[in-house]
Amino acid sequence: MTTVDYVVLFGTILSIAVYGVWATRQVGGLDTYLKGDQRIGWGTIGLSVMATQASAITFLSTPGQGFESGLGFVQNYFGLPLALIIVAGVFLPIYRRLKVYTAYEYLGKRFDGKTRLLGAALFLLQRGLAAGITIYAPAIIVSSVLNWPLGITVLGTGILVVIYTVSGGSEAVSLTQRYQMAVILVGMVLAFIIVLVKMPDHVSTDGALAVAGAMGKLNAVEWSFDLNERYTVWSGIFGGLFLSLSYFGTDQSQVQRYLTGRSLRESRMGLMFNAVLKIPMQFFILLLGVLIFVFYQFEKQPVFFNEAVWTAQKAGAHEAVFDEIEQRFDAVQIDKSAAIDRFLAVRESGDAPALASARAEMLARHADAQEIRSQAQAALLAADAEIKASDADYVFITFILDYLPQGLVGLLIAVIFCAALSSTASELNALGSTTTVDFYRHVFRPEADDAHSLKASKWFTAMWGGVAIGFALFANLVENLIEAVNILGSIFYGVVLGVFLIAFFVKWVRGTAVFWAALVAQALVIGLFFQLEISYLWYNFIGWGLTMGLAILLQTMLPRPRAEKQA
Amino acid sequence: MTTFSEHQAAPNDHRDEEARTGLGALPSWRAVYVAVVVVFIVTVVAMWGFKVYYA
Repeated sequence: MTTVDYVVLFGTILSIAVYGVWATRQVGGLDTYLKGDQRIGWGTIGLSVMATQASAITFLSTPGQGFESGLGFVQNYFGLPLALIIVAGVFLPIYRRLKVYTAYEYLGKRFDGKTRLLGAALFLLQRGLAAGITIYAPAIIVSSVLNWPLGITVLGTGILVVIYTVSGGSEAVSLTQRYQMAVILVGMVLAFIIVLVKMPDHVSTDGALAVAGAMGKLNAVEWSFDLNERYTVWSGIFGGLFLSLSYFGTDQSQVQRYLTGRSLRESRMGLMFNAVLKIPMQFFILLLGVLIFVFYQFEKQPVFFNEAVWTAQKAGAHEAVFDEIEQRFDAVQIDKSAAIDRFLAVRESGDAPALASARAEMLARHADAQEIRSQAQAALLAADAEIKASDADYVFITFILDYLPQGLVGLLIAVIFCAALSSTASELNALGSTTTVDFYRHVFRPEADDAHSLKASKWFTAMWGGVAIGFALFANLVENLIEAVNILGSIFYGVVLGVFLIAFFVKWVRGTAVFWAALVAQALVIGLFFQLEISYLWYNFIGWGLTMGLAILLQTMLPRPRAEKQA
Repeated sequence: MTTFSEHQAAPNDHRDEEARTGLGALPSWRAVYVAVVVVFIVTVVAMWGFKVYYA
């Protein structure tokens, strides 16, 4: 990175944070702090909801997923539009009408205090861990490739987000997210354009897509009913529907975003904005990864994209093994590049038998290259069993640093940090609000006035910031970071969603039945997660089904109380 | 007024105002939701066509 890049990077992220603090320097009271005085328009809500969901992991891991596995991951989002319609039509109007601060406050009004606390506790547990991952994920990757100290990167990101989130509350989060999302969208569009411009002259966009398609990278829609297949249309629509419904309808980090709307219309429009744009956005981020894959068929590709790890191991006792792997990989890449050129030339001629032959040769060389990449990963693990053998998260950032011009490198690194800051801000804001409203004011200090609660909310937000930073500093995470967050969500979300759907639609089921059903269902889902080998999206469905079924069963067995005490 | 059926049955002075989307072509929320579903279906079909065309 050059001086220009550093100026662009720090100028961008600091100016947005300073603006957030300045624009919200006069927080009126608890309502302003938690709901931004409900004066935000649909555009900001839409961008805020999008920015909350799209963490830095989205922009680091997703192109890597496109590079490695193609477009299939986009199906994960197929349930999202339907979920947002249900949230806009059912959840949102009731939340607004009951004037709740948190989604769990609604559970207290509908059921009882213990169910409210259970919903809030599941959220704090799940989101508290995820907030740590949100800070850690970009920090580990950026610090590794730029040789920054990991601890400083985590602390810098964490402290900055804590300052403006604690200072300005929900409104500061929404305002900063608007500009952070603008930076993200501009940066990603520029990266997309540059990868197309940098393709060799003889490779048109159509040709690049033909190469990607022949290598199975454009698998955006898979109709298979195989439950073991990680991404299919069906797991996306059904599992994704439950994941999205739970995330947008019951996760306070999202609920808090759209409750800031100045009217029901503004909040609904913000949600519909995401219902329409989220899938195309994910598609283009994955496609960017696919195009980077094609780009590297003509440029020297590292055998392992996490260069710091590769170089460190190569300098050790196994230098000869790593050298030999590199030489074989470089040789296969040259053969593969020539095979791709032949494929593209024959494709122009329209000679079907020759095309089939060229395609088969290209795929054979691709398989050879993949085999050597697998051997490289095995060699790394043999040298050090603790090494993360997946390099997918390093693909996009390696491309940025090696091929983007001065200034744009800084902008793209700013994209990653903007995404980290925006999603972490929502999470801390929601964690602080839930701790204040559902625990502190509800259990410990019911008599607390707004001024006291506002102060408590700021302290709790700062405390959760400290927890997230601490977790990020000491975390040791699974190989693919974006999946880690989704798996964590899928284990908890189904149960929480079951509780909320009973609340909205099954009037005769009461608090005690749903409380015990949720506890048992959560234990069963965690147990099943360690026993079954199915796509994690299905745990949303299983958790929902178990909670609904058990709650209804329990309610039929329990004596009906004369009057249930409301929270 | 905590379940969906109670919410719908309860009196609401703002019902008419809340029902309006302010969009000329899509005046009701039901029309907006149908449009979102149609866009989703078109998107999936387009992505499937993209896959088949370049397979």
